[in-house]
Amino acid sequence: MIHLYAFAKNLRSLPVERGVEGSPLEVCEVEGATAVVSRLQATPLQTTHEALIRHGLVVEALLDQDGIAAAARRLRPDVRSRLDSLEGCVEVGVRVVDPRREEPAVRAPDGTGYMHAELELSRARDRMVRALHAPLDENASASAVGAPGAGGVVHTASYLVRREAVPAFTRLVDGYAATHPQLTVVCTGPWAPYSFAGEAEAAA
Amino acid sequence: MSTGGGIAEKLLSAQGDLVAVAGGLEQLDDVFPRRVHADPETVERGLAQLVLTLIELLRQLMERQALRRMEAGALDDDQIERLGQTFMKLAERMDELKEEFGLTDADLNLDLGPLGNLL
Repeated sequence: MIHLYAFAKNLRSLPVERGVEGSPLEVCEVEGATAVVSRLQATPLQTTHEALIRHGLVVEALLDQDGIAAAARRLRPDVRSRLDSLEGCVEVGVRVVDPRREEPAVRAPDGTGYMHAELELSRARDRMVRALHAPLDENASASAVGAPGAGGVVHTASYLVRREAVPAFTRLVDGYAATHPQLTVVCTGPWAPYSFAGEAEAAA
Repeated sequence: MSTGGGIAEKLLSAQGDLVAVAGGLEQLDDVFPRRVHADPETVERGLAQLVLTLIELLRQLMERQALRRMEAGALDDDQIERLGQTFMKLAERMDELKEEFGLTDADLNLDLGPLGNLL
């Protein structure tokens, strides 16, 4: 089985990393695009922690070379357009945790009080998230917002940012964090643009 | 296995309780298909977890819908009171059941792969 890690552009040399199952990396031309692949014995591939980490290390090594995202001329137009839009960009992840969201449910003397308290909480969370997401979204080429999750997570999103704009983007996150000391705010990256490599509809 | 430069190199900015965020990384197993454990000792808890997850999903959906209708002015005072009483009792009963089966809010979730988490 051939395992695909990424399409690459301006690839100077293959990373020294071994691929999944320790397999050697190879370059493969696919309709004019450079694909970094390796040949695996196992079929189907066993999704193990080691396989995930191996895959991730190869992608990170390619990202270090600024090699992710090709602009192949003979690929299908939709694929080529998607790859072109990723060129020069990286993914930055932002996650916000509000410890108060894990607090016990609203206690109220009656049903009306409960509903009003819940509505106010919901509005406050929306305002809090909008105050962060709106400026970040303006400074990103695209964004993909996930649903709030367990553990008090109120905002989890990926932003497609031009590589040179990452420091300014990070400063926006820092500024928001400074004015919301009660929140846990984490910004990670740069990552390969995983969240934006799929269909155009996947990114908001 | 080395993971290269490590997670710290990927931290552009951070404030607050990072342990709470890092806790999510420990749930990496969630990327693998989840199963109800079928051995006799844990099957009851596994099934309870699945059932309570679905109930919690429905509770949240109903509550959000009710809040939206309330915000739009589509509910009268009696309806708001009755819905509020229902959601309060449901939340209390859920807390009791979670305690009975030793489950936390984080347990009441399902990883749906590319679709994200259920809750």
